[in-house]
Amino acid sequence: MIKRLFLLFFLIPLLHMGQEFPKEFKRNPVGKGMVLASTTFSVSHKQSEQEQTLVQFLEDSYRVDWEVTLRSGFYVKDGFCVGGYFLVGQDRNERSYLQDGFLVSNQSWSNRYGIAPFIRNYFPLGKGQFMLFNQTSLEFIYSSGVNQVVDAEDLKRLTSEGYKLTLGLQPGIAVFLTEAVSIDVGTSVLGVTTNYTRSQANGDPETDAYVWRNDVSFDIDLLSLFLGITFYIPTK
Amino acid sequence: MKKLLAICIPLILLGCVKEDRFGKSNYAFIKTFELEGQNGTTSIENQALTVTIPVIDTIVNLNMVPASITLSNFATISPSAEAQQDFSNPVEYTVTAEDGTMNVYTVFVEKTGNVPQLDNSSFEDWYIQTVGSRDVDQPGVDKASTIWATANRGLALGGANGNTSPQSKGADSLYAKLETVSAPAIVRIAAATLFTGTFTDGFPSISDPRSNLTLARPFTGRPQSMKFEYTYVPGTDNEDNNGDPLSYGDQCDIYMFLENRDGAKTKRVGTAWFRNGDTQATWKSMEIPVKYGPLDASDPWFDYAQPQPDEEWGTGSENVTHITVLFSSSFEGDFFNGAIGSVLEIDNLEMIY
Repeated sequence: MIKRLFLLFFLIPLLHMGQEFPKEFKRNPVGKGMVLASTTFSVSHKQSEQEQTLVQFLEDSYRVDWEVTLRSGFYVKDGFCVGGYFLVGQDRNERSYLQDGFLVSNQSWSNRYGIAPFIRNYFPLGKGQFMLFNQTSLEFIYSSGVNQVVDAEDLKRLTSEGYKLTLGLQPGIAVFLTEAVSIDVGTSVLGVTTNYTRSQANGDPETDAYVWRNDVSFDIDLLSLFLGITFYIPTK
Repeated sequence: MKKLLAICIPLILLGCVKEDRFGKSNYAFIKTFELEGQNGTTSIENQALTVTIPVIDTIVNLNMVPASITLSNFATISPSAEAQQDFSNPVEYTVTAEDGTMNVYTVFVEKTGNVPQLDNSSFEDWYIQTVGSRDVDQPGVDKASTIWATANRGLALGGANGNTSPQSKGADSLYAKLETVSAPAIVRIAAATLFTGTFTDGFPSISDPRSNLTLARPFTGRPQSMKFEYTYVPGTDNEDNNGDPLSYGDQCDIYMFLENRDGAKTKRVGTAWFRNGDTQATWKSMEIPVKYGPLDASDPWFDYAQPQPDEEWGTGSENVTHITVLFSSSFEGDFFNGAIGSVLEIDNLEMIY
């Protein structure tokens, strides 16, 4: 099992190093010595009033999740980049509903930020305007959140902190607008994740709890596609 | 490097969510207040800011530390809950909410003979509990103060109506109706139950319905018997969970346990049990004697009234600290055996001393 994972994450990318790239552009945007500067962005928003859901009638609701990634890398060989990225994201969810004649408010807010080293290799398609890429990253994310429910009886608050380490595979496609700029679309397909979360209810240390979770997953989540723009900058 | 820090530090600060991001609590209420020697349910009036505690009239010294006080989350109390107070006179406690809101409660202790009755034992008070998009009835004035509970919340989560409900018995008089119904999902039936205690606030277990119930309430009386009015009409087809007919008919179950609880140790001090499958279509008064101490093999309830797994027999002379009363429309409802349509009606439960 460990050997197979090693093959997937490291050997396959290395096997494709040094591929020839078409000469459509004056310079190879992913050639040795180039620098990659990229940002990706994802956002999800929902807002409603008087919404009937499966389990309850919501007087109003508001949800927005977003994540921004800033990435930089250096092409050590043609089509092969080594770099790192920083991400920051936020999940916000608020809803209110009637319970026993009282308007209950349920609000949550979670921030996260993370860093990751990555390697990325490219496979040209056609004349080189499109390139498939595959990124392997070791991502560490810290998150902090609070959930607060105010009902007729009391205010209940759950605070949490999470630490997540993921070895992940993220394939995608880069569409080159010019030799220096591409639009990237990608998704996550494979991850080995260890996730540790600790929480406390109502500020009471006696309620301290933790959840440690490990997953090896192979999921293609088309709903979690990320969109990004990448700049390719020559160093000389 | 400075530029990198200028970018990273605000982002790191953004990563930490303040605990009071959505505001501080303004709840400054006393939720429970118990004293040693208490012989009934504490009455807490959050509008009038009073707490009234009945205690046994044989208690001479009311200079004591409260047995327990629970407050709204994040609230603090002054004087401390661990401080000794002289409850022979009214005592003032100041409860301060997280946001600084203050309520000053006055605690009164009333000496009474040790002949307590259970609150709302005639089932006149009911409130509406909203579960998802469904409303169900629950016995009591509100969730915070009631000593009674039902499994109605579990049915509502399954998309069905509650099967314990208030019914009118004439002008200004209500009683409780319990009906075994077809379950909304997974199992065949849902027997109705009404009991002293609480029903889980989480998602109920379907495989172990008893685990959803936390039974018992504080109580110190030593009644000679329990008396109640009832009607019972068992359903026609008593079947097991697979729908296979059983060789016996459905029966109602009504029982009372008097317990001595000391930490995790629970001793059964007294038992009264009524299990009957006869049709009783009109209201009938029934009085069931309390048997103190272990049951004998000759006792009619010996086979099914043995202590629960976390309980043991007491001698019968221990102080009573808690009471469990439970009504069920199908005696084997825990195992999903029962007759759909079995109806038990209950009113005017009374402890006889």
